[in-house]
Amino acid sequence: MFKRTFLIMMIFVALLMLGLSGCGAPEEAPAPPVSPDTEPPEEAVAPPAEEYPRSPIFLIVPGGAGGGTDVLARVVAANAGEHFQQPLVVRNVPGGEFTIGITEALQSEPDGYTLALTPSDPLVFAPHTVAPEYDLEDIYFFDTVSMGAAALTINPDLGFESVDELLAYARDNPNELRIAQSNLRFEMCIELLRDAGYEFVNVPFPGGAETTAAIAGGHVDISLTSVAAVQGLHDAGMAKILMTTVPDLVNIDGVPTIEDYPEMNEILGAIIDTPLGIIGPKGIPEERLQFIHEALRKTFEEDGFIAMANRLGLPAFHVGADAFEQQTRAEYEIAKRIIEQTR
Amino acid sequence: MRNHIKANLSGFIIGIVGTLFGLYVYFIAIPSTIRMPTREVFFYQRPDILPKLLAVSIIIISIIIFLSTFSPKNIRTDQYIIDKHKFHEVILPVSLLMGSFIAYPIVFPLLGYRITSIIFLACLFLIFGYRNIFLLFTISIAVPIGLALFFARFLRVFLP
Amino acid sequence: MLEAMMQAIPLIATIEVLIIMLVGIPMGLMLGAIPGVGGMIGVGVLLPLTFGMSPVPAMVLLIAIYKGALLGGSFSAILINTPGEAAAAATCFDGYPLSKKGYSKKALQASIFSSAFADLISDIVLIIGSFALALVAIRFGPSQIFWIIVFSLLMTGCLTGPNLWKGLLSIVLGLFLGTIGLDPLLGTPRFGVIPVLGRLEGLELVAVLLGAFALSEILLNVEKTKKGETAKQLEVRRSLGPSLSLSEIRESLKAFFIGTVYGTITGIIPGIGTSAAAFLSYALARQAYGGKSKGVKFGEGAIPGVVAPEAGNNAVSGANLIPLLTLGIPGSAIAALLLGALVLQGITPGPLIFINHGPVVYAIFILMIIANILNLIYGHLLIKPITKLLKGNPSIIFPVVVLISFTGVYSINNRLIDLGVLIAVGILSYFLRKGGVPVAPMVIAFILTKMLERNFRLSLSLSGGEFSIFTASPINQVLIGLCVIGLALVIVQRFKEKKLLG
Repeated sequence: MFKRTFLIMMIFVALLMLGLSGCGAPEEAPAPPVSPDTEPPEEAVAPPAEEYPRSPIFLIVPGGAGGGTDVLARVVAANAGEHFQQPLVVRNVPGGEFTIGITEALQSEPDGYTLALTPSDPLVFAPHTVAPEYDLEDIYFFDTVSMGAAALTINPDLGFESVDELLAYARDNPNELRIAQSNLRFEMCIELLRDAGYEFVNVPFPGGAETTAAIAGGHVDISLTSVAAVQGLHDAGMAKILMTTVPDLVNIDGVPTIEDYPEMNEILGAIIDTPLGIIGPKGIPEERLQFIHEALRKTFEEDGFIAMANRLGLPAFHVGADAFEQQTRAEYEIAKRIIEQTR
Repeated sequence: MRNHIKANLSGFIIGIVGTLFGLYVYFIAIPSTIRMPTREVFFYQRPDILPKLLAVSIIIISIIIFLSTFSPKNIRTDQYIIDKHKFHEVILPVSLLMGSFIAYPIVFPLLGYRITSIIFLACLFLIFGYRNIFLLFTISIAVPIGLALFFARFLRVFLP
Repeated sequence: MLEAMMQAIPLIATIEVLIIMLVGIPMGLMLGAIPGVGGMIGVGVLLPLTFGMSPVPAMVLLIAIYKGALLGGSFSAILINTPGEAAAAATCFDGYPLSKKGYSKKALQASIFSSAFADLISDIVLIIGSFALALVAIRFGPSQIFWIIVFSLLMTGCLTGPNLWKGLLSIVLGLFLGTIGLDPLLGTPRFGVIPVLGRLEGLELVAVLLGAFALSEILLNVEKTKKGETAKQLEVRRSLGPSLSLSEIRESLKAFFIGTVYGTITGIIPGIGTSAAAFLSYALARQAYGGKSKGVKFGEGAIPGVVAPEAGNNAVSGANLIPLLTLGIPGSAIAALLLGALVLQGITPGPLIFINHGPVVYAIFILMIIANILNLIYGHLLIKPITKLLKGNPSIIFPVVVLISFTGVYSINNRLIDLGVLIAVGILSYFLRKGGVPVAPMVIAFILTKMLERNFRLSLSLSGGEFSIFTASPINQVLIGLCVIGLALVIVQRFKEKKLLG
């Protein structure tokens, strides 16, 4: 009896010691991802450069399964395996307005085995709101995958025929029209409109589904969502899309785009679209970067990828690494200005 | 009096711990972890309203529980919480079990899933009083490796 | 409609669809039974597989997994008090005591029958009334949902156990746990005692459920297994026991009805969730039966206590597709994945879906009904082997279950913090249970908090701070009436039970 208790105690103490010593040594490198076939993590550290993709590559999605980004990532992964010569594994790490997944991606070993597919939101807004452990300097930008278009939708009972009518009404009746949205980007848009003299009541819903339900049920007057979320309702006349963005990619018959409204374009144009892109930690060896760039380029050329991305309402759209980085920095500055003003 | 408290020990402890916890939440946790918006906001937009309300409720209810332990009409619902004769049968295994639970996520990032799980499982078997040493080691090595394979192959979840 | 159904038949009657059904359901059952692993992860993994399929087989594969997993979760809930799926947590209350007494077969049968038939009814509701019901559902805005949540919270009052104040403490603690994480309106972190904690969108539900029910139960059990058990006890625990009798089925019809109706309503209104439906069906049924059925108290192994939550959580699954298909609004995370799959097949959900894609939609409907029947058959085949497996030597089963739960919880979000939540809630629940505080109200309150707070504050945002929004519409007035009646019933029940106790 006593012997066994003693044995348990010993193992327990040993385990605890291990844990405590670990707390004191956080600089210990996390093991790189390993496929189930290769042996325990320790042996897989630093594979020779020439045979880079030796095991599956993780594509971190900072949102939960089922979101738009998640489904897009699964489409990318399904088409990319062949060009990477290894499967791309989607790994959902949700939470913290996308920051927890991004943190994990940026703090991972820069060996090219961990990338992230994300909207630019956690890169440009979160640093000002929830204080994550990273900033723009830690990020290597690969390319954009798509550009999420927004739709400004109204309850058809309101009777406005165009954005101009809506804005004119809002100018005369401040804080009367209620606008539903479900992310920080659209909240920024509402703030920008407020600065320009159009005051709306901001009603922050928890997700795209609830926002769509609110506009369909007539609980709010206006909604800002992705185009895909309201297209079905628009086609049936239960909601009316007044304006869409990204005219090069998304066009609905009879609906003007943001370029038809220069004033709107000036106020919101720089921030209303959601770039979705692939990023990684800085410090990935040069030849691996080349490999990833090349593999991504081939993936984006696949017909299967282009067709599926189109159906999702997130058409393929690639601006290249530099433009992606510049746009993100520009958005970052705008967000910084607005958030410092308002919070 | 002493006997009375002894018979209602759980209510007594819950009352004290609950009150302290509520005070901690109200006066320390809420001010230090909830940042208020700098701009003037309506009351329903304040992020600390519900937490404060709940902290106050916890304090009130805990005090009532504490006081009710002195009432003769109090209904006992607890199981024995402390009994010194049961050290070997209750307190030791339970605290060892809790200790291993707590150690698991601490060791996990250091040793990786497989090794941590093997040690963890072996500990648990011993705590639960499993005697067959050979089977013990076979199972505690086979199960984590099997699980890791299952998750990686079928669910595409790779455990570090 | 009939014409579209006729056109649907050639889409269904293919070997591909048949094989998918026969394989998908047991896969779902298995995934559902593993704690922490649910239909969600299965559907996510299989989604890329559907890219190359045509719409009907693709959707059927995902729906089969979804439905299988909903049932599978209750197996482990009944046999080892470890909910395999979040939705099955309420099944633990009476399912586990039944199985401890040696009536595993009864409990499992009750769960399988009620799941399959509630699902069937919910699917039929979906087929007949989808569009009209969707239009009703969107009338429920934030203020209406707020009252539904209040009603639900009042109903948990009847689960508070003999000591009212300890029950209330449990509810308040649950509400408190629900406030941890980002503020639902402003997105500011709350209670970031460990910074990452404040940045979560709320504690992971599965982690809280497994902690409160499974982990605390194992901690309580370590004492008992140490003592060892007599051969007779062992035999009782491991036995399958008799089948359900006809009179027990008749007795449970009321619970079945309550669960199905409540689950269907919850499913149609987006965003309330399967677990809430199960818990509330249980609470309502307990109320309706006056706390006991056939002389057995709820919580000690009453069969209606298994039937109600199982009917409740499965009735959600069909109804959940109503707003999804007709309005493109996914009512839950798993529905969002189904939406993604549908869109990738080139089918845009919306009011026009029946006109544009009638045959495909009806094919999916018909296959959903077939899936229920298969669920029934497979469920029955599994009763014996799974009971044998999970009722083995507890000193082997418990450690393995703990490890599987840990692994499963980690795999949901790939975050260590969820593991921490699981363990913390487990230890907290152990002490609460030791001190005579029931944990069920805590868990229900936890599930409801975020919705309660968000809808309360959203309503006020909509009205600009006017409280009149809560009483304005006729739906609100009806719901307030329900709340008052519910509260009255709970109070009356309390007095009755108090008398019973002496």
